[in-house]
Amino acid sequence: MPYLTEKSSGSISTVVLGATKENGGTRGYTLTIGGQNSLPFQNYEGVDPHRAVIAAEILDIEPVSWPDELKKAWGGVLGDPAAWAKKAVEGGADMVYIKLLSADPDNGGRSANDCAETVRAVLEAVPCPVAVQGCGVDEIDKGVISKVAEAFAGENLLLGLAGQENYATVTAACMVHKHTLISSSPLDINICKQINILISEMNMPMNRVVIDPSIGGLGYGLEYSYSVMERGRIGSLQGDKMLAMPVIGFIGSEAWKAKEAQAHESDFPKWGSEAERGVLWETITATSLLQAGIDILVMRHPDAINIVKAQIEALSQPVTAA
Amino acid sequence: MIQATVHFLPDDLRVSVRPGCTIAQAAQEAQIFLSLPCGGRGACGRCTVLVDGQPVSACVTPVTDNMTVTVPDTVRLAGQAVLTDIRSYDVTKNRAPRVRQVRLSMEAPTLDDSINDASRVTMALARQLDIRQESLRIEPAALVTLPRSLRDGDFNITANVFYESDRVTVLSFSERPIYGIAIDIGTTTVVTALCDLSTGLVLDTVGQSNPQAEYGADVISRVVYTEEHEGGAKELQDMITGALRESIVNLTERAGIMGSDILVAVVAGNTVMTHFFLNLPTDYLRREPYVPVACEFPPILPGELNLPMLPHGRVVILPAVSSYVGGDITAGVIALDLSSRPGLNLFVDVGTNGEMVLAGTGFMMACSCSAGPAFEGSGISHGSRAVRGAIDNVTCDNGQITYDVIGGPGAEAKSLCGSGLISLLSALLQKGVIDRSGRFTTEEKEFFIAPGVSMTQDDVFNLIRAKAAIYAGMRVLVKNMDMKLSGIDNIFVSGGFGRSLNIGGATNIGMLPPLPMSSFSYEGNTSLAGALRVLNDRTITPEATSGAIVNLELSVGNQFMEEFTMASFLPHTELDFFGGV
Repeated sequence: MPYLTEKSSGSISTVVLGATKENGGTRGYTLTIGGQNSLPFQNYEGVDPHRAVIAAEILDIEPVSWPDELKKAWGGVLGDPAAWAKKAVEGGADMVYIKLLSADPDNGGRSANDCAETVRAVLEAVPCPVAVQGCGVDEIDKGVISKVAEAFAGENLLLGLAGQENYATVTAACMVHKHTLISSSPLDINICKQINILISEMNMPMNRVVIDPSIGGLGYGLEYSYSVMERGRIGSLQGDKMLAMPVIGFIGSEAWKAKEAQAHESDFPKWGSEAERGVLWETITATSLLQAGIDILVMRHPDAINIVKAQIEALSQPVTAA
Repeated sequence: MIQATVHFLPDDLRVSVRPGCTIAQAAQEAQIFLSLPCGGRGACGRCTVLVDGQPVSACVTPVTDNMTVTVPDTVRLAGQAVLTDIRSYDVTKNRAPRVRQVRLSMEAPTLDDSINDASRVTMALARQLDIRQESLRIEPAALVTLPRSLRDGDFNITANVFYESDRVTVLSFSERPIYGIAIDIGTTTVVTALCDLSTGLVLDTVGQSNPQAEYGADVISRVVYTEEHEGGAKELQDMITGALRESIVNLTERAGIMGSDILVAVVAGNTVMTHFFLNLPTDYLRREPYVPVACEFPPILPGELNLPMLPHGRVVILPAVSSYVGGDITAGVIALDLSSRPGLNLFVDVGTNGEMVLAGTGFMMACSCSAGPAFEGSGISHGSRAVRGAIDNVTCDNGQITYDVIGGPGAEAKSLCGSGLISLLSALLQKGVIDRSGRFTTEEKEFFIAPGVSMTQDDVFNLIRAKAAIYAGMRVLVKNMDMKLSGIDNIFVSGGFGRSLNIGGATNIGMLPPLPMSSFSYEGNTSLAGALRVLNDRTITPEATSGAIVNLELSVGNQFMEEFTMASFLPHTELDFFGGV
C-alpha cells in the first residue's frame, strides 16, 4: 500500500540572520531559518531544511523581579548584557535577543545612543547573530531602533517589533540599513497578514521578515497561540505568501509569567521543586510550539535552552516512510 | 405654577416651560428639533447651543427664566436630505390592485324584495367580483352613510373595496378618486409617498427627519430612553405619528385632495421602528436573545393613530423577519422580486445599519450587521446626508484629487455624504495618503478636501469599520450557504448614499466585492418602493415573503468577528481576490 503524504504548494521563505565580514557584517557565523514546504519535522513529506534556533533573551537592565531560580541560573552576569550574552552563547544558545528596556522613561529613559552602545558591547562579545528590540513604547522605539539600525548597518540584525502603529519606521530602518525585521501582531492571524502586506508594500524583501504572532505560555493561552501559529503555517503551505515567513515566539517571558513556574515549593508543597518546575514550564511551552512550526524560540533559562535544543536535534533526524 | 420663558434665536420664538426642564425640551415645545445623537445623556456635545454667548449642551442644561438661546443650524434636525428615490418601484409590475372602485347597479327594494341594504350591496358586489358573498364584509363605519348614498344614487353606488389577506372589505362608498400612502419609517428619516390607487402612479413624495432622533441617533439609544422614562414609548409613538400627520397633510394639500380620499397606508420600517409605531415594548428586542413582540401585525385603523386619512381605512404594516431584519427589508425583497429572480442575488440595504438578503433558488437568507450610520454621515467629522453643499463624488487622477458638490459648481462644499465619503476614502488610498490599514502616512493626520471640509484619522477608522461590517456580513451569508461571493450574479444596493452610489469606490475600499460593474445596481429607497408595490398589488403576500426569509444571527459564534477583522483593511486582507497587491 502506498504511503500517503501531503504535498504543499507553498513554502516558507528562507531567512538568513546576521552577516559575516564578506556580507558587510562582523558576525562569526550566520543562521538560516525557514525554507520548509512541509509541516514541522514531517521531512518525509517535503523539505524542512533548517532547524529551529534558540535565542537567549538578554535585558539591558538587571531583571530584579525575575524568579530566583532564573537569576540563580545566570549567576552574576545579569547586570552586564555583554557578559550575559557571552555566557548564553557558550552555554548553548544559537543567538541572543536583546531587549532595550532601559529606553523606557520608567526604566531610566536612556538615550538611543546609549542603547546603541549596549548593542555594540554585545556584538563585540559574541560571534552569533543578534536580535534587538526596543522598550515597547512606540514613540521612543522609533528613535532607538532607527539609531541601532544605522549604527550597525550591514550587520543584518533582527530588529523589532514592527506593529500596526510603527511598522513604517521600523521597516524603513531595516530596508535602508540592511537588517531583518520582526512583524508583530496580537494573536490574530488576520492582523498578522495585514501588517505583512503593509510591510511588503513598502518593498521590504519578504525574505527579511520574521513573524511574531504573539504567544501565551503553558496554561495561559498556549493552545490558542498554537492554533494561530498552526493556521498561519498551514495557510502558507497552501500558498498564502503573506503569511509564509519564519515565526518567532517569546517563550521565556511568557512561560515564566505563570505563577506555576515561579511559586516556591514552601508555598505549594504538592507542586514539587521550583528548580525543576520553572524549567519544565518553559520547556513544555517551547516544545509544544515547535510542533506548530516555530522557527526562533526566545528563551530564558539555560537548562530549558539545552533540553529544547536536544529535542530539536532529535526531532530533526530524518524519518523514513513506514 | 411658575413658568420660565425661553427665547430662541435666530427663530425669535418664545416658549413658556416649567423651570427645570432642559433646553432641548423647551426647544421642542418651540418646534425647534435638535439632533441629540447620544440620546440626551450629555455625552457627545453635538447639541451645543449658545446661552448668552456661552456654549452649553442643550440636552442636559436646565432652563432658567428669561433665558436667550441661540441655536446654530448645525445642531438642528430639520433640513436633512431624505431618500425619496423610488427608482426600484416598477408600476408595470402591479398585477391586480389591492384597492378597487367597483360601480354597482341594483334594484331598489320592494315589499317583495325587502332584503337589507348591506346584503343587497354584498350580493351585487359578490356577483360582480365573482367571489363568495361570505368572504365580503362592509366596514361598520361605511354602513352609516350607505342607506342615504344608495337612495341618492337611485341604487347605483360605488364601493371602494380592499383585499385583505382572508377577505374583501368595503371601506367606503364614494365616487371620489382613491388614494393610498406608502410610508418608509427609517431610523433617521421618514418618507411618505402619495399614490393614485387606480393607476398605481406615485403623485408626490415627502421626506422628513424622524423626530425620534431627538432621543438618540441609533435605535438602541431610543430603546434605552423608553426604558428609562415612564411613558417614553408612547412619546416615541406620538413623535412618529405626529411626523406622519404632518407629511400626509403636506401631501394632501399639495395634491388638492381630501384626507378621507386616502383609504390605505402601507408602512415599512425596521423592527424597532415598527414597534415604536405600534407602541409595543422594545425591552426584549435589545437584549439577548433579541426577541421582538411580534413579526406580523394585523392591519390597524388610521383613526386609532389620528392619521389624517379615512378613519376606518387601513394601515398595513409590513412583517419583519427578526429583531434586526425588519419590514423595510421585506419591502426591499418585494420591490426587487428577489424570491423569484433567477440566479444568485444579494440585496444590501445600507441605512442607519446594514442588512442584507442572499437569495438563490429555493432560499432566502438575511442578516443584520451593526455597520453604524457612518455612510449617512453620522459620527464623521464632516459627514452629512445628501444635502446641498455635500461632496458626493471624489476622483483621484494622477494624484490630483477633484470632487463634485451637490448643488452644482455654484454650491460651496460644506460636507461629505455617503458616496463622497466612499470615493474620498478610495482616493486617499490610491494617492497613498493613507495605507491599507487606514493610517495616514502623512505628517498631518487629517486630509482637507475643501476649505473646512476634512477627513480625520478617526473618520477613516469609522468608515473602515462600517464597510468591514457590511462586507463581513456578506461573507458570512455566502459561507453559510457554502457559496462564494464570486458566484453572485447581481448585487442590489439600497440606502441613502447620495445621488448615486460610487460602485468603483466601494469596491476599491472593499465595501463591495470586486465583481464586474454590470453585476451592481443602485436601487435607491427599496423600503418605500416595496411598500408601494404592496399598496398596489394584492397578489403580493408580504407574510409569505418574510416567512420565506431565514434569519442568520451574526452574534452567534465568532465567524462574523473573524470576517470583520479580515475586512478591516483596504480593501481586504485577501488582496488576491481584490486583484492583488
